[in-house]
Amino acid sequence: MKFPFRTATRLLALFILSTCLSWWWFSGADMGWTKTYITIPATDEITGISYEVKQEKFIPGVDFVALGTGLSFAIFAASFLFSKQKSQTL
Amino acid sequence: MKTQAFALAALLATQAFADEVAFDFKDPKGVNNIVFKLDAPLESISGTTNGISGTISADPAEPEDIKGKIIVDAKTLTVPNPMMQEHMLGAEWLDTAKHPEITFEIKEVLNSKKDGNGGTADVKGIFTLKGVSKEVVVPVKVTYLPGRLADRTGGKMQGDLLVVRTNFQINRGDYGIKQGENLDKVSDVIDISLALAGAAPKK
Repeated sequence: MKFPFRTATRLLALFILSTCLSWWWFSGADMGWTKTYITIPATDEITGISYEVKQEKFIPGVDFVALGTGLSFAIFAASFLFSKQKSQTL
Repeated sequence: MKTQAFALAALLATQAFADEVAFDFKDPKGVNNIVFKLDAPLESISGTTNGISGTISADPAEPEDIKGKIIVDAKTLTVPNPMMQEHMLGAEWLDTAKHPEITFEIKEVLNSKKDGNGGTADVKGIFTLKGVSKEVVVPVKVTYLPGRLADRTGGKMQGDLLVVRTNFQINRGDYGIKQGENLDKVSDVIDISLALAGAAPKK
């Protein structure tokens, strides 16, 4: 399948943007910062102390969305550097 | 007569310190924790640590007679965002490479009130953060759990537990942490909550 390089670059930008937004949305659309762990509340039976158990989990936040959006826009902007060619192979 | 008086004084002195117990706050179960919170525009920054050690000597019968020091390994402070964590431990904020410990040393116990196996008090102490030491007074709730260490260790160790809880606030600027800077990004006030259990094994 043949794509002009400009189109291929724009498809890449679209792929990054959609992947980033989908990942963020389906991870719960967290409006805070990106987190690499979550905490689960627990209580020690003997002392009654409440504490948090860490569980590794990647939760993308608004900084993740900003980074993905910025990267896709940069790639989209870079696509203008390539001239329109009808039959350039990928 | 002189010998008898000396012997009586020695006996009384021994009795006076006989009930004082040293509680070790290094907790292999990882239950002991400190939570710190700072307000920020996007969401409040909340972090924890389990890197706690130190010893408190207390006489369960005399709640006002407490002394000791709690030490936190500053490098064990964590927040869920890795970039924020790197900044927090870095030279501009906590500078944990130069100041690896955060400490609280008890100096005096005020307004103590006994309540069953525990009590409450205002504890005056020296709080040291990023190499800056300041006197603070924090409200403390103490619960003494005699003989409960065995329950916690599955019977491997006999002894007592002392649970200490407190919540207090400090201003980061007072401790040389970006004084007057970044106030639009993160508050000056740090809310600190401690919940610690110390163990005193019986020998």
